[in-house]
Amino acid sequence: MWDLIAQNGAVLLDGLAVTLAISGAALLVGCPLGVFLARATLSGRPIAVATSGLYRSFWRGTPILVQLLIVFYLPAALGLTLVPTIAAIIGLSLNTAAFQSEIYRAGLVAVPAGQSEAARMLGLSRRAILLRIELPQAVRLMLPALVGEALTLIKNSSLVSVIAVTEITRRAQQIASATFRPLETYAIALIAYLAIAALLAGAGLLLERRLASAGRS
Amino acid sequence: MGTFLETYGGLFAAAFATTLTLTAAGLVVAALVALPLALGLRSQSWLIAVPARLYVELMRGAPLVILLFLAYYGGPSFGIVLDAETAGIAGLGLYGAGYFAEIYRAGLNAVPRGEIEAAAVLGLSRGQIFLHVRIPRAARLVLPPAIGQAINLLKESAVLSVITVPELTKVAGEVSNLTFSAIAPYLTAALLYWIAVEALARAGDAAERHLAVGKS
Amino acid sequence: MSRMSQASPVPAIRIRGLMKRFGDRTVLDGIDLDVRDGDVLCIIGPSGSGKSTLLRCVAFLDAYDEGEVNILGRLIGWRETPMGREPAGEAELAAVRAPLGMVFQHFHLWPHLPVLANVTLALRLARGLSKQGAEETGLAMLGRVGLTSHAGHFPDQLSGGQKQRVAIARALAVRPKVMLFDEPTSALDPELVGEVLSVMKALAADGMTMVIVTHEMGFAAHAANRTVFMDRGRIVEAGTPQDLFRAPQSERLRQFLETWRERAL
Repeated sequence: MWDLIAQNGAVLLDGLAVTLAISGAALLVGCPLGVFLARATLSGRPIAVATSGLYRSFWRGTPILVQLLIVFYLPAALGLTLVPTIAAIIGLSLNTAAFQSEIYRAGLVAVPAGQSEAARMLGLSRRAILLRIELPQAVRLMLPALVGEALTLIKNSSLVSVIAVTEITRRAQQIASATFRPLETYAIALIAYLAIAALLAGAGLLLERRLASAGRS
Repeated sequence: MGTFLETYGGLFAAAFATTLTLTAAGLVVAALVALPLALGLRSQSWLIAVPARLYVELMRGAPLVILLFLAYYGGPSFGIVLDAETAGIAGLGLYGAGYFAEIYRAGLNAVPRGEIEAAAVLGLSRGQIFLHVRIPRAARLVLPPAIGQAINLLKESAVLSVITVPELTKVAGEVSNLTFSAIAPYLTAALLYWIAVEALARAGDAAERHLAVGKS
Repeated sequence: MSRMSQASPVPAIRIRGLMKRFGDRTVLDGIDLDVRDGDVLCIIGPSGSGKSTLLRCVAFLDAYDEGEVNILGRLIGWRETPMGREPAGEAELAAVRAPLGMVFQHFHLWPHLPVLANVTLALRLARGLSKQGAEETGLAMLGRVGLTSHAGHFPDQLSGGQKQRVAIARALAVRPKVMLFDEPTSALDPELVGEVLSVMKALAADGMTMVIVTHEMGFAAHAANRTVFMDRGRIVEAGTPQDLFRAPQSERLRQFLETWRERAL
């Protein structure tokens, strides 16, 4: 196993960096999209509620692998070309937006309505109420769920290997078929994923504690 | 689209059936393996509790595709040669078991202490309390997240395509190779998954309502 | 500070034919009421009589169905068009609402911000004051409610009475013309009611126009110059506190006062 790491460590690390970059980008792009969808659901306007509900139902109701394949092949069918990495980020973003919107909806509902009523009476705009009153409180409530979504996203990013993005799973496949040592190669990839998961979970706990004490100092 | 369905409808139907069968098999494995795991998680002895916890965290932190690669391509290295379907069912089942164990554990823990104490005061033994109070009460609490997890397994089963199991996503890929157009096959697959997921969610809602009636 | 006492030609709040329904339940059933400059008007009545809904419709936190609420002569919440009424835009609603300040039963302080930031947030974001200017005003407002020393605390480090006083300072900071109080002491432990009422009395003595929904009959009797008794979505009696408390005209008010006196004993 050590010789395998010694020979392919750089390639695997490169794959790991791609995994993290793609997942991070999708998480960030999915965030405003998710907030937008959550707000549409909470708006009470029938068309907005139905549209965002349909969006959520599709992206949560179909396998991410199939979603990625559709996002990858659809532009080609329309005569466009899309770099696999970009297709991967788009696919993962559209998917995580649906899941994130559910988290934001629950978080926003948890902030008592009276707080935004008080803000409205003081002349704060809707935008200011969202950014200064609702989101800062909602973020604290939503943090554990968001960390969970980030973990899922990193796991899901392993599937962009099927559209030839050279993230860590794809790299492992390449190494496994070149060295004929699949067991060790995939074990190394597995350990990498577990390490990321552990680090992320730890960071989440740390952040949670930081936020909890920030409201108290 | 009409001719597309005429030509490939049968293929898709068979593949859809395969997806449903494999998911159901994986679900059974997951739900059963999770039982001793959940008890292990609740064990007083760390010799049992720690390995159970490690197993759960391993399954929840690992991408299914890596687990499948390990089982299917890595298995032969130590003499375990599985055909794709078996590897797929085992992978789905062992992966799902990690999640189900956590669901069971949370359900068992959520039964209010007062109900357990009430039973103890009435002279029921610990075994009787577990069997007649804790389990039935936990079952109701477990149902909604268990349905959610079943839906996840159904969706995750698409990953079996990468180890060549001829399920829905795999067949959609093959049809797209035949027709040189990927969109119609993959959209068809997505639609079928969507229908199955919605049906499962509806069934879950109905079951929940049915159980809630028994509450009063 | 003295204040011009002549009646201004436009009432601060003018309510005509106000109707509000929740589903098929009529909560406000034709309310007519004027609030003039300098009025301290208490609204009393049994639970569910529509008092709080009236206040919320005046502030347009709940949209009323029929009738008019005019704030300083401008219709709040709706825009009259040849095709009928349509909801006013966000900016227009905010402009018409600007003269109103509101204090809620459950305070609704923002728990993630320190006390001073609760008071200055609107000054900075809605009124565009500098950080320094907002903090000067904020501290002055906290001084009025006797809580300057708590500027750096977070809301859940305060008692209920202190929270409500901060909420009053927060509402006063943007210099409203009329203060609306929605049962400001109902959520407080009995021993904390006094500190909030004395802040409100000081405000009334300063000449602030106030509309107060309250169960505090003592306050209604002594601090108000007008009292309105509501029941089942209607104004049953209106007049000076002396009129209502000493010589109730209706059986319903007599019963209401009787129940209250029995409870007070």
